[in-house]
Amino acid sequence: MRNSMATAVLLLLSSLAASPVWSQVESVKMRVDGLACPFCAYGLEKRITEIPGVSKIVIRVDDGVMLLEAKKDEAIALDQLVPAVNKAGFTAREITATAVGSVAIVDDRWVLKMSGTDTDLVLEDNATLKKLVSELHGSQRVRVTGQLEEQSPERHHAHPLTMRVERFDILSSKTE
Amino acid sequence: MRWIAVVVALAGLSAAGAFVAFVPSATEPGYRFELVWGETGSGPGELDGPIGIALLGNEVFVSDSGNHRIQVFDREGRFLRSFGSEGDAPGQLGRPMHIDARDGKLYVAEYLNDRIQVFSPDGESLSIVGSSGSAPGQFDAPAGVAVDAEGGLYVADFYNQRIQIVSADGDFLQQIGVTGDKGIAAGRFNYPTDVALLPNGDVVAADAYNDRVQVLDSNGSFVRKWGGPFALNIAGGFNGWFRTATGVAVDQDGNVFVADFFNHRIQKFTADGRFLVAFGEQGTARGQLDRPSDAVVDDDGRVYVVDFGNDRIQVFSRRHEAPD
Repeated sequence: MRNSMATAVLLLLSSLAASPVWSQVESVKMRVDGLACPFCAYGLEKRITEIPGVSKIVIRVDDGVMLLEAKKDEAIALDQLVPAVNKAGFTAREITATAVGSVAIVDDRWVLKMSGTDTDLVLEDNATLKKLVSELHGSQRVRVTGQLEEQSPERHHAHPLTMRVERFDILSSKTE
Repeated sequence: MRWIAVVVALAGLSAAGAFVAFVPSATEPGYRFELVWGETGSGPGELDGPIGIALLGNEVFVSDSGNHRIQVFDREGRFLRSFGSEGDAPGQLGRPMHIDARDGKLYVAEYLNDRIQVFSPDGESLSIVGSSGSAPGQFDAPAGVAVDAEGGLYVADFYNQRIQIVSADGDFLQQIGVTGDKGIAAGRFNYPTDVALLPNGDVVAADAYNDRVQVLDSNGSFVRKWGGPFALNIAGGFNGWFRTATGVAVDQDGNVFVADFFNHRIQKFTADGRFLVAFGEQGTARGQLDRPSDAVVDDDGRVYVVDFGNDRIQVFSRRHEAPD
């Protein structure tokens, strides 16, 4: 079940190829199976290095974690990230991202709206989100970090992914 | 009830027979710990995920992969110098992996740069062979290299699932395996990581994720394979079995030493694949190993082991007493 969910998330991420929704993704943490071998880890590094926007790659061989940081003023092209992971022969298990945007209500749900795209990232309703919303004044820019998850099919509509917000920073105090 | 006893007895005999057939005993004295050097870090003499090792004269060359450099030690482990830095310009390195040395030159397989770079012992870049890709003469993450007497290169072309033989100038000569297509049949590979040459010119390949070693002649024809029952990707910790064979080395007598990565040991075989002895166990103490990636043997039979997980080099020498 866990694997099928992860696979579904990967498929959904892949389906967003070329979507600018990721243009505001600053960093990514991904759990990857099979990284205990340096030939594997460096192979994954080799594939990821080719992806636009990736500045720094840290692969922790011992606990199977890959960390990516974006180049300054550039985006991590997540649409290429998942195929690159697959091409290197691995499967991602958990994807945690940090993204910047503004929080708004669309179709009665909280979303992270990001510049340059009509596609929003749905934010799962949890205590952290409630706290974030309570501290917001207007459409301030925020940085949110959380795990990406698939929505159930009946809730897809235009928002195939949710982020379970784990922490946030409010970046601007003025109303845009 | 009697027939049940007969069946059980037959099954027991079959299991015992299989064990004898597929789990050989050591036939020569083992190895004892002699020397260790290196620790985790990026300073002189420190290592970060070392992969390959080679001897040139009285010097020991280690590919310090995490630090994108080659470090040079004397045979007692004293640091002498290092060269290389992260990058893809001549003289720079992108994840140096297995290395080989011959006739005063060091050959470095560069995983990220898809090339074999040839250095003088002092670190001067002499030539570069290969480029990125899957065409003949191109590489996709070359993991290991061996050099013959004419300067011909045998390259473990990791993601291309093949061994390539190219001239000293990089001209394509021969390919073993099917490009980009891993396989279990004889002469096919599942992420090859290293190569070495036997005295007769045959090629020994670490077929890492098939958990076996393959020997092929210089024309690319399959000669033999070993590693577990029928060498069919059955991993295990018995004598003669592997859990990811990542490195191969050949001593002056033609014996083959295999870095048995996830079994945390080195196994020694004759050139025709007969198990001789294994040494090493998992740990951080002297003489213990954490995922050894490669080995090299000097003329005195001392085995220099790259202790990848412990970021150090360990040296073992032959015991003279009978095996346990």
